[in-house]
Amino acid sequence: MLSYARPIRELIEQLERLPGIGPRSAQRLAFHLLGAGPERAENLAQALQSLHRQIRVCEECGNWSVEALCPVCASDERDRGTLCIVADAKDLVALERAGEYSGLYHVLGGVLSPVEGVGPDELRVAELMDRLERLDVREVILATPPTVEGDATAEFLREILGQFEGLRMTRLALGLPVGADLDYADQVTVARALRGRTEMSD
Amino acid sequence: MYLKTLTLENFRCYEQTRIELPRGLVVVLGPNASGKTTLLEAVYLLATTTSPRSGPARAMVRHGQSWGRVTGVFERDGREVTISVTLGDPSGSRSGSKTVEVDGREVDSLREAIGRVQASLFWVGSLEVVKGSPSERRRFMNEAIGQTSARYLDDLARYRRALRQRNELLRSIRARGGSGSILAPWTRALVDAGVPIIEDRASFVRALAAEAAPMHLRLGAGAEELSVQYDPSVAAGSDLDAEDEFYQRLEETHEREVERGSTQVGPHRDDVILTVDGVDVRRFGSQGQQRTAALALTLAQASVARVRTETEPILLLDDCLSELDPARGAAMLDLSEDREQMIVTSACCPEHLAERLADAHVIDTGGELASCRPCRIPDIEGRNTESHHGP
Repeated sequence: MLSYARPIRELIEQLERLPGIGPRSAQRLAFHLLGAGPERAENLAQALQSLHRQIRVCEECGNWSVEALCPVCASDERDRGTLCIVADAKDLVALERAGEYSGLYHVLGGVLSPVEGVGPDELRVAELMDRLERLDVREVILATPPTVEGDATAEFLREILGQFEGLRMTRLALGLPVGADLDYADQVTVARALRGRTEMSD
Repeated sequence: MYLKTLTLENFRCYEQTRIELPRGLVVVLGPNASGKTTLLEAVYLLATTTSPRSGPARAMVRHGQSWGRVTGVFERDGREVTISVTLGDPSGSRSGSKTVEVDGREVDSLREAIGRVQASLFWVGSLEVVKGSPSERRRFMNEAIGQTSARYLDDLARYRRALRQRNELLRSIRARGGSGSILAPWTRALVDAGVPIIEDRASFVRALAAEAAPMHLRLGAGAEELSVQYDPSVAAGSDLDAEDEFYQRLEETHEREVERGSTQVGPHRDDVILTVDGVDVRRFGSQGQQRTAALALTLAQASVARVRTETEPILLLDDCLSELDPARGAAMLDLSEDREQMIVTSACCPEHLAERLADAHVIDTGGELASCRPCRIPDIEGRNTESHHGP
């Protein structure tokens, strides 16, 4: 069988390793790049190269950053008394987009999962303890995802953060989508919203 | 609810078949291996999106074809709903896929399809509920409760994940040591998901037992009494609720669970006790007793579903006439009088039931479905197990 010239073949092989890209998509992308001319390919190559050269991990919170400190940690307008713990940097971005939160973050770099060999040592837990020693944090918001692993991670943190006296610990609420009628929400969502119901106050 | 039309395309031994069905009693008559069970399988597939037979979805596709489809038009409370399950992809590549459509709109999960159509099936595999291992009875509970509660299925999925993670951690503690503090979050995840499962199962089996006993009396020639009892690994005790009891039992068995690398107590160790006149029918029942008990459980489960969802499940009963004596056979057919639809298969037309069957709608897989090639599916006695279905 006639196969593609080596550079094309190599590109297809590289693209295939990306998540969500199968052999057919890889082939289509490769030929698209080939057809779009050298400039397009150069731009992409440049963006790829500068990614790891320029991006590093924020020394404080673990967010992706260009500087030693990410924009959130560097800002003097953030409330340094609250710390929101997220599994991944992309969760941080989601929370930032909501525009509701003005405190600091801590990125764990994943959730506990014995099956995948992820224990506390594989997450940025020691860094978290260190920050809590240094900073004057009043409240920690546990914002790991509402999965079995995310819940267990939050539970684990709740346990070990118990040593910080007077530290308030909260868990991100989960429940009904905003603006949707109760009867349109699926059974599971309604059931979990009921289990996690909150006290009404003035 | 009842099934009005069933269309099979490239499904098992059927190439292209459309069947109209009325309410009430429908009898599918035909010799062994003529595709009777396959009709029930198709209805069950529409109700649950899975086949009761094990094996990959593509095994249901007619030999040599790249796709197959089952379509059913159901009527429920005067409204029609069309459900179709497509196996493979008519347009090309995705041979292992399964697509479910409700009224022409694709739905992406069982959660969405659930509760739209309900069916209860009795077939050769149902015997396993009685004589099989405890896991068969757990599966029976899971399917029955899952048919009426998506929340239960969610708890079950969370429980299984927590169990898998916890067992992995136990094995690593066994190998490398480690403290309990790292186990605690997984213990809590296990208990959080497990307690509602225990509660749901307890209430389901209570409801099941209440329906199964009278059903069994009706099907039994004598006055044998079937008792059904939940046998939980962990249950609320006299002074502790299920949650505290679960934590305590985990603590008690900690040494053993580390030693074995697996969680020793919890809903994954549940069972259901089945006795007939006080004798454990799971182990000591005769073939006939086990069959009658299994049939009673299937019918009782349908009654429970009817009460819980206010929807009448379609009863699918595969080859249960041949072995029942005249009185039991008649009692079973009489059930159709207060059920919306009951589809019964039989390889023969028992003489003593001829009168009753005369009123039923009969589908003849031998004559009317002449396009069907002999299917050689395992029949109810498991005699003929030669199989030609797909790779």
